[in-house]
Amino acid sequence: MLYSIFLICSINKESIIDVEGFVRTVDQKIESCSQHDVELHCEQVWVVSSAAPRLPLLIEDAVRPETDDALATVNQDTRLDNRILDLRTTTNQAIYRIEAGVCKYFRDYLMEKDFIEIHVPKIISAASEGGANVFTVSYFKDKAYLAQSPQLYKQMAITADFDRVFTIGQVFRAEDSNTHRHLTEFVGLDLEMAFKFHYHEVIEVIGDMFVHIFKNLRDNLQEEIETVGRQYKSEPFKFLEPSLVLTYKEGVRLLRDNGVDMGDEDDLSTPAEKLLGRLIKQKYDTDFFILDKFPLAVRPFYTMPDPTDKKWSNSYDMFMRGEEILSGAQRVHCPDLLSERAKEKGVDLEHIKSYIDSFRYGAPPHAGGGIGMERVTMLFLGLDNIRKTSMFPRDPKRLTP
Amino acid sequence: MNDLKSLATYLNVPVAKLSLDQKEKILVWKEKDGKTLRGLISIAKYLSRNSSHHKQFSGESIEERAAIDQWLEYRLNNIDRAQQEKDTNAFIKDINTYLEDKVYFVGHQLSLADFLLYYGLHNLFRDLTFYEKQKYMHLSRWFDNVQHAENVRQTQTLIPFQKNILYTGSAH
Repeated sequence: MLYSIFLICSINKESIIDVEGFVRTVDQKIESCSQHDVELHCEQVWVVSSAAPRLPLLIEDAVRPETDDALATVNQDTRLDNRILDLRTTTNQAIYRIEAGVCKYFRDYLMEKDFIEIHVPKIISAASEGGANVFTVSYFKDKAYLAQSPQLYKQMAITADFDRVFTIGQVFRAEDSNTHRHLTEFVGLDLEMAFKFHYHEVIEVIGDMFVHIFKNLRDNLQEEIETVGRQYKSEPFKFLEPSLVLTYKEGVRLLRDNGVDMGDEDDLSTPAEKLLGRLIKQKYDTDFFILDKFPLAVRPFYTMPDPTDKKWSNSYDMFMRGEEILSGAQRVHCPDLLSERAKEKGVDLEHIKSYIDSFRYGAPPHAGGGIGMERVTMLFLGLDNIRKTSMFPRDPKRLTP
Repeated sequence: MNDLKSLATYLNVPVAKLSLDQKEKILVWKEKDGKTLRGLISIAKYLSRNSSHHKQFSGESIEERAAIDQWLEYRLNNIDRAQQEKDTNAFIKDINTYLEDKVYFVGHQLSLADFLLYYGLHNLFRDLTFYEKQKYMHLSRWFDNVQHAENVRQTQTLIPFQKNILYTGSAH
């Protein structure tokens, strides 16, 4: 149907329309549109798909920054319940393009470094990390689990002579945490690499990979970053090249100098991590840093201990804006040492028999790590909640849409 | 009680018997000759005026002495009696604004007011985050100054302060 001018105004908001007309230049810049210097003079307007007259939320409310007190904004639950409308905002269109960029630059960099992309099972027979936080599924007459991480399979690919692998896939954690940075299902960007002499070769690759991601986001997606910044203000993300690496001991000393009471082998609490992030930002002017040589006591059983001092381990964490985004380490590749470490940590050897066996036919020394795609995007943009960077988030209270 | 013991040490006055009257919840100072004093402020002023080394400590002029009295009362009424967080937040903001252009609470040197306010606020400061310490910058500056003054801190823990700005936007 062809509509007259009067009827065009009555087309419901958010309907899909076809417009035929002339593009003409304008004298005055049009601020309220993405194209500032041209106008569309309509000759014909057709309604392709009409939207319902009453929308559960208005896009202009959803894109408004929270600070405008008088005008309406949309709260998180309403947004998530009506996600397809919420995702139409310019801010969300920008956020998910940036998230796509994180994946793209992750992939590009690793492929350039001779990594190959693999895909590993998510339905597994035994809980990989720990028994507590795992989802069970019924598997015909048996029970199976949803993978908490691709750890096992990454390593098996290494022992299968693939040398350098990465995988991008869902990770399932049945953690009943209702925080700003936890989801029950998220996308993990995991990598694993056999090294020649020292696990620091792997830290260097991962550090350079992050620099590559940050640089490309900053250079190629600047417009999107600014769009997000209009609704969610934050400081631009700063990083050093090459990435800053500090030892765990140095981190603890920095914290102790600022009044934090902790032992040499204590794990970092979340407030301590955040404070460390601030102190390092102040001292080195970087939002991204790596902490190397964690105490062995706080790492899982498959972490390689430091050969010179059993108190420490060849493991590392990486932080963005004071929050952990990667936990990695050199893995134990000798079956006997692995069994010993498992026993020391109280892990039942029967459950991990096939894992230990995978190292019995020649396994190179290797190390790796995994990052959460949503968390990296969230912290790069300085957002305050991970649900902002997950298209259809899953948490203990949300299963739809 | 700790405050008065430390005050006595600072002023080089021998510590007499110090106890807490459970019924009236008030401090009692009993000297060897039987002289008793009751209440934090009375005892503090007695000690301060009796020590010969520190005449400036109790206030040089009448105005200063009056101001010190006012601050001792403030300590008792506002700080010691603060029950909830909103009470604490109220007086912290007040004191912070007051200290914006002052090195010490009264006059140009450490006085009894600074001493007892330091002891009164120590517990609070122990639990403040760096973000809060930055927010109440003048109060933090005063606190750091007093805790480093000679013989003031004694057995209290040293509270760390950051002289650099750590938080530009939010506490996140």
